[in-house]
Amino acid sequence: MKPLRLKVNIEKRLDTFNLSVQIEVGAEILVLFGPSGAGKTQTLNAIAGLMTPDAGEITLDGTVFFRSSANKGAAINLPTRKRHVGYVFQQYALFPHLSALENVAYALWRQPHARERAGELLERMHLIDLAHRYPHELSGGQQQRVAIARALAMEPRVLLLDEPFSALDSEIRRRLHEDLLRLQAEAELIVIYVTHNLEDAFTVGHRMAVVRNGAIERTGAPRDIYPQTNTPLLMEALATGG
Amino acid sequence: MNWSALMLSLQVTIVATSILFVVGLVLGVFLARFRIPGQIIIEVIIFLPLVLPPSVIGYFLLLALGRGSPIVEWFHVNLLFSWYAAAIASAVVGLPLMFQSARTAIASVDHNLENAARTLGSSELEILWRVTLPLARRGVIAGLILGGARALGEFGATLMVAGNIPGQTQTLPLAIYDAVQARRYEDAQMMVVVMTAVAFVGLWFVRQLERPLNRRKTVA
Repeated sequence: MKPLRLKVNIEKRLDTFNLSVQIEVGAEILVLFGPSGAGKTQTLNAIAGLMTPDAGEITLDGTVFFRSSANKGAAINLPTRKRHVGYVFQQYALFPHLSALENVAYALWRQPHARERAGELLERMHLIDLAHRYPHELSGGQQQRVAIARALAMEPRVLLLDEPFSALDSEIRRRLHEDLLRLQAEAELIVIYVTHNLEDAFTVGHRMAVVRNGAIERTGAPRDIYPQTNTPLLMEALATGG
Repeated sequence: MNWSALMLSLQVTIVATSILFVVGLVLGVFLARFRIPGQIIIEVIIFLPLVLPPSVIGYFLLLALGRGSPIVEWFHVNLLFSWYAAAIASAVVGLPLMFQSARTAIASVDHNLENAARTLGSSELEILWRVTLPLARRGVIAGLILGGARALGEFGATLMVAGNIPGQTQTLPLAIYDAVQARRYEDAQMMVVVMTAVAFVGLWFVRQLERPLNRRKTVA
């Protein structure tokens, strides 16, 4: 498949600050890194269509997700369900009344062989033995793998992850990062990964964008942004437990 | 035991509960999920039957169903003094209980789950059907039982709009009143036992529904 590009250029007046984000993402994992309350989640919500910016444009190659009326002609705001963007939430947000398999099959219900497809996805995430468990019967790491499988079920080109593994211990987190890197490479996914943990940014990010007070401060490879010298910012981020 | 009154009560209660299900659910969803102008006024009107005397509810229903009302003028149906009127009166007094329970349950469903469903391609109606209502089902069922039990026990407004015609509009509560008036105490006693038993079982079941969930509602 032809690699796509997701272009985001939005403004939004929020309660405590103004969000003003310009990013362009290809088939890679872009880490949005910054302290909580910097506007990272709001950016993901704007891309997914869960929040409407005041102005700007969001496009995935030819597809316009959002365009304010100030930009070239009529305003466009594609509803969330038509954007086809996978979203993994911080709080997992698995449907508690559905089994793991049914959660993954949720988006496929109109298609034939939905359960078989969902089973394959669970297999790839090493979860097939747990297919009939309910979310509350799964560990945090297992729940988040189900959430990823569920988001991938509709074969999105864009996958958004909001602090996906922040509640998990570092060993499980490392394995999930490996899974994520593998999945991204296999499907040439456009991935945006939000975190306030610098270690996450270094393990999983091909590129990172530092978000502060609603704006992108710097963009580049993690090593370029935070060279292994003892920059004060790095120390600060590591000291706060990231 | 007045069997025709029992059967009629069942018939009236089933129809009233069906009305409650549809109307209570629609109102519950709209008032839980959308900001509607005049929201408080709508809610106050829904709750009025809880506090108004049955004669006042009956009076309003006479206005709504009687000659000169839109229902008679437009549809040319006269429901007064038929069992349909009894069903409508029963639904009106049951509605506050159904509405309250359904709205609370729907409002407490985690918004994140609905957002997740949106990103998975669901329309709003689909989300309601596949996520919100299944998760709110305990509250909806509890409301239906409470409202249905209240509908079964409706007396005053029913008397005013449907009358007390044996075999046609005389439900169990009215038959009990009649039996006592005629000093047929044994007859009354049987029906009192039936009514009390049904109400007891209904409320017991509602308490069961309200007990803490085995499954966690949201997974943190």
